[in-house]
Amino acid sequence: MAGRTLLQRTVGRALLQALKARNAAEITTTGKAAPAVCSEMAAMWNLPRHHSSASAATVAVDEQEAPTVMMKGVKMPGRPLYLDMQATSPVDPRVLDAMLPYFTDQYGNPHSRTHIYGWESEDAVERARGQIANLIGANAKEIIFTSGATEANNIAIKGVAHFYKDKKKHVITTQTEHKCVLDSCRHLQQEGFDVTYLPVKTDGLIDLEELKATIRPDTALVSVMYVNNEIGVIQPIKEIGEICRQHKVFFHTDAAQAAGKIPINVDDLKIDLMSLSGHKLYGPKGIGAIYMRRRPRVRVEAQMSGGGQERGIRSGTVATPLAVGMGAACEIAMQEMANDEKHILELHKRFLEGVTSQVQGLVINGSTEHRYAGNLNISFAYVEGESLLMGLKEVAVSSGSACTSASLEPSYVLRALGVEEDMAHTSIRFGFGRFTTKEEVDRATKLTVDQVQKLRQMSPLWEMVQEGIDLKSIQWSQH
Amino acid sequence: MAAVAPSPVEAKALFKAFLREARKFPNYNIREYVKRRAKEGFRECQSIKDPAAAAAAFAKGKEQLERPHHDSFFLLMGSSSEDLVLFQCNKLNVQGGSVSA
Repeated sequence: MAGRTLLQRTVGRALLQALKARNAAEITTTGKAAPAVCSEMAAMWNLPRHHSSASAATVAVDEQEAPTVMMKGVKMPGRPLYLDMQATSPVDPRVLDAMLPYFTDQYGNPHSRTHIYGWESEDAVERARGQIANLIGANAKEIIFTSGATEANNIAIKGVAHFYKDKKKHVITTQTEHKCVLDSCRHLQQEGFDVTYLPVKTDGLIDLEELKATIRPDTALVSVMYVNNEIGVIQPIKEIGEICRQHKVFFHTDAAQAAGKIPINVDDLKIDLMSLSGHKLYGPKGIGAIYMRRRPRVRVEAQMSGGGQERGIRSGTVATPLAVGMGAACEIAMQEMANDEKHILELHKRFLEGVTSQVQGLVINGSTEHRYAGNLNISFAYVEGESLLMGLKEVAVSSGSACTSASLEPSYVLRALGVEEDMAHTSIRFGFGRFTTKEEVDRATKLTVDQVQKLRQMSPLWEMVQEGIDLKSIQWSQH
Repeated sequence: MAAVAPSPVEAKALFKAFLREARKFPNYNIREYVKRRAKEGFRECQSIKDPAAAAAAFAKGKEQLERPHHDSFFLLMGSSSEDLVLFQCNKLNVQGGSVSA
């Protein structure tokens, strides 16, 4: 940092002090009263902070009001603890660090061939491509940047189906896939393709024999997600890869929730196409990638027409800072994988033990054995799901995937597992990650237990269960 | 040249420097992560007996510490533009006393 002047350093240090002062007010879970101005600021702390933080810190010193954050009519004592890592993960500071130069000085278009601005951006994008390839045991040439895993899934499913449409008319997927896969398949059905939606067993895993029986001579593609976004179960990808290779069918897997969390090697697992997402592995939002095998070669029809970037498969300028961020996130994920895994498993056990020791009648949705520890989907019996979520407003969790959390319908994934409607309505997904702390987990445990017990005390159903009445035997009369 | 293993004092100083850096992060989760990771990393390295491996681990730690993570926003406040050709040319022109019309 030779170019940094003394003035900048001094201003910077003052800012740090101000931020620290503000931050002391921001963490309200300790129960300390924090200045109202600061918590208002805290509600927006993702915005550039150096504009007003200094004044906020000076104004706020003497105020000792109870802290509140008000948003969408919900009043909270502070920012909730974040346990929704499947929806998105915070950006690692090392990732942000790698990205920043490409937001400021190195703003060249990576496809510009005539000047240094373009060359340095191109170098950065290629380096990121290599880092992503490294994480999954692929070659850098097999990685195509997209806007996210949704676009990658679209390219994989529609792209393969369209390219081989003259000979192959059949696609196989599962009922518990992400919406973008299911929707792409629906689109193919409208075009006249045949799609089989494989059911899953009660543990959320597919039946391999059923898969074998479903493959036809005209099957173009099998698409099974690696780690489920809602229930966290890990599908038997290696076995599926083997079956697909034997039957000469392309195998696509949506690894948005798996990459960077569990070891993946595309050659060992015989994966032909794989979707990746940047923001699920502590990278930035707005970037993803698709892995496309070169030997044996997988070909797809492009979804977007344009300048022919990314070997014509995804036209449009690659977002250099985001690509660099995703590359850095992949490299860090690779280095930190063992450490993260250990930490997340510890949190998983801590939470589960804490909750199960105090609350009965809870069910973990999906296999407990074949599962990513960072995702814990639990149904609480005799509790109304929406009330529980509202009661847990100090914990940022969701009832399922972020895409469908707006609707009151029970999750289609849980229904596919055969979870009964009442239990599907009360499911909550707790997500742990690299930056989740034990203190947060303990706090979440306490809040969950308190809330469940409070709701059950109010519930006539719970009272009946305590009296030994079998709820299923009751004939409810209609009015 | 054989690598020299860091002395316990040096290792301790590096560890303390990590904790000091951690405290600079305004975000609670990141601050706690840096602390936890530093503790775990140093605990893992405690058992290293081989001097070369210990020296490598020490060097890696130092490199990690020197990366200015928390300084990220300094970059936004204004980075050096002195290497722009524009300035270089202006300097040349002024020094040479000839400004092309």
